[in-house]
Amino acid sequence: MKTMTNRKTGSCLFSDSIFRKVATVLLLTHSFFLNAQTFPMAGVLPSENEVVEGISVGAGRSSVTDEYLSPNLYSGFSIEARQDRMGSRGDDRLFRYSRNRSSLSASHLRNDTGNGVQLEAAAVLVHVRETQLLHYKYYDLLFGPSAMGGLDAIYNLRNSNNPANVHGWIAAGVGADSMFRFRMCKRQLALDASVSMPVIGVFFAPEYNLPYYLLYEEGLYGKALHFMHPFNVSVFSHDVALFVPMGRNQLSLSMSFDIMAHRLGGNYAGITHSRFSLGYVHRFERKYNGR
Amino acid sequence: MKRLGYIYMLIVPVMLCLSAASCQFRNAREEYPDTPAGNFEALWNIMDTHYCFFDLKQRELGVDWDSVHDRYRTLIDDEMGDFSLFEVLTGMLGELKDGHVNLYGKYDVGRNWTWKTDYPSNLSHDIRNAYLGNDYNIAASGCFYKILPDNIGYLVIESFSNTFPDSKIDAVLSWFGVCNGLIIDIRDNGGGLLTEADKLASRFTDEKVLCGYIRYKDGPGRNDFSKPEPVYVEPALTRLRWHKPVAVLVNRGCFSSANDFAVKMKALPGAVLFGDRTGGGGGFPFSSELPNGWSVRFSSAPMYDASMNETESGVAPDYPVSMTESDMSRGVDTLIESARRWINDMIVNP
Repeated sequence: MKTMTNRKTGSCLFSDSIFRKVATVLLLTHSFFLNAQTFPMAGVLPSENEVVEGISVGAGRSSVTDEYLSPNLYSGFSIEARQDRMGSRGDDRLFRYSRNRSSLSASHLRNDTGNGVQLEAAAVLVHVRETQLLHYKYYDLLFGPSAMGGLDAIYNLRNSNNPANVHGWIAAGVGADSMFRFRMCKRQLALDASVSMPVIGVFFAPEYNLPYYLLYEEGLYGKALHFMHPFNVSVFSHDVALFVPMGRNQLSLSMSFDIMAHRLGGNYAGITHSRFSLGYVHRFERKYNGR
Repeated sequence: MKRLGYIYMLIVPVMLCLSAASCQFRNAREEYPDTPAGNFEALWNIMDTHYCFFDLKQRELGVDWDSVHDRYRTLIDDEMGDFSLFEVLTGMLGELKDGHVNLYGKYDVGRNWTWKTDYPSNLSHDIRNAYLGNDYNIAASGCFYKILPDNIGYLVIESFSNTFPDSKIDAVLSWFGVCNGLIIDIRDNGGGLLTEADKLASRFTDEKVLCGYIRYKDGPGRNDFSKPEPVYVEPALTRLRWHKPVAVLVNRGCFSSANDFAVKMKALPGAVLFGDRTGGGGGFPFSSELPNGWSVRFSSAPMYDASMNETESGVAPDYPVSMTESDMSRGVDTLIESARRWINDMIVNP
């Protein structure tokens, strides 16, 4: 685009950058309202071969008690990056919807007296195949089996020979997802509540005072692997998200809470996270070859 | 719509109830307040449920942990300050005379080192430095070596805290290739990484040798232990290995992984220990914390020699030797000279 310049003074009447900014704002505003009316997709389940993907980042609080490292409660600041994907498969009549979640989080924790520090990092993968139990104009309820895995590593900055501990699990479980759609200010919003929880699986947590040195040097892995079920290990995650249409995409505001607690091998461990996340959600169609 | 909400409301509580089991676990824990009495009870209880040598300490030192509680509890009152509390708690832990038992407070590290300080050191750093001279080689931090005049290699390892790469061990053993024997001096080596001690020991055998056992506390009872797991020295098959006589110099300052190295070398054919009994520390340490955030370290996994004798109280040398006054006044290290004589005898009478 050419710049309109006053040749005598050399000043810019309408510079490129200002014009671009104004044009962009106008176009965005226009598309925002246009799409709010023509793409009321918030909370609408994906149709066949369609994928709804959400990417979000969050911050909140974590608290950790891991008796392998310390009987004290450590709590502090936590951040998380998360990807959620929901797809639909027309060829599967029973479990038509699939939901995937992968998240990475990190926490910096202090004990109550402020003289101890622990660092925590966690990774969680959840895959849920869901059937539509209920479907109404404003409400959907999905429920189904899930496969999930998680890894939680904690590092205590002061311990000498047992400075770190890892909790990990691979399990089969259940998941549920409920979607409320409602209108506010002439716009369709949605409230999504989802839960997931393992039922049976294998859990890794070293026995009582088993040092990692022995675990590796002597190959005592059997002393760290446990059969897990809801009465000896509790892993549970729950989150509620509000979807607000923004143009062709949606803004997501969510609150999540998860807990992992057990007393395997004689040591209690309890880890909770509660976070507020902000993200965006977009829809796209999967091509026939799976892309 | 209400009905639908109820269904979801049903699913969530069911899951919450199941996860509530975890809260029961938490409630089952005994909580201690952050008061002098609470910290005292927490420390006594941590030791009671995690420390691994109560039987041994009762046998050797007559320590009755229950009576220790009663004696020291009377010294605690809720008005006492941090310094006094630290002193009392350190005193209580000191009853165990275990170098791996420490209390890490705000201003100090509580310890009882009488396992070392109550005995002659059998080491003069000045005399050792005179043997090394100024032209010794440095393999790594705290690791020096040179060839003595009678063609015997002399390797000093002050600590196993630093990693000793395989390539460095290869270089040292190559350097000593022309020597008739090797003296490894680990006197006053306070330990470090068990893996480093293992790595070095693996250069002195061609066969897998049973050198001891280890087990760990697998429950809160004082006698809750896992079954003993055998510990082997496995030869470093792809690396240089030493086949000539080896003398290891030890004293009461050899502790923890240095003690473990001595145990392993003693189990190997062709290696002998010269000097005093080692300081011990044959319990793999663990750490925990008190309600006030002070850190406590203690032994939690007892180690044994190949005959299932505990190594917590050290390992006896094959050749007991002490530094003599007359040797010291002449600048002679009695242990080094004894080891040299043994190696020279081994050349004549292998």
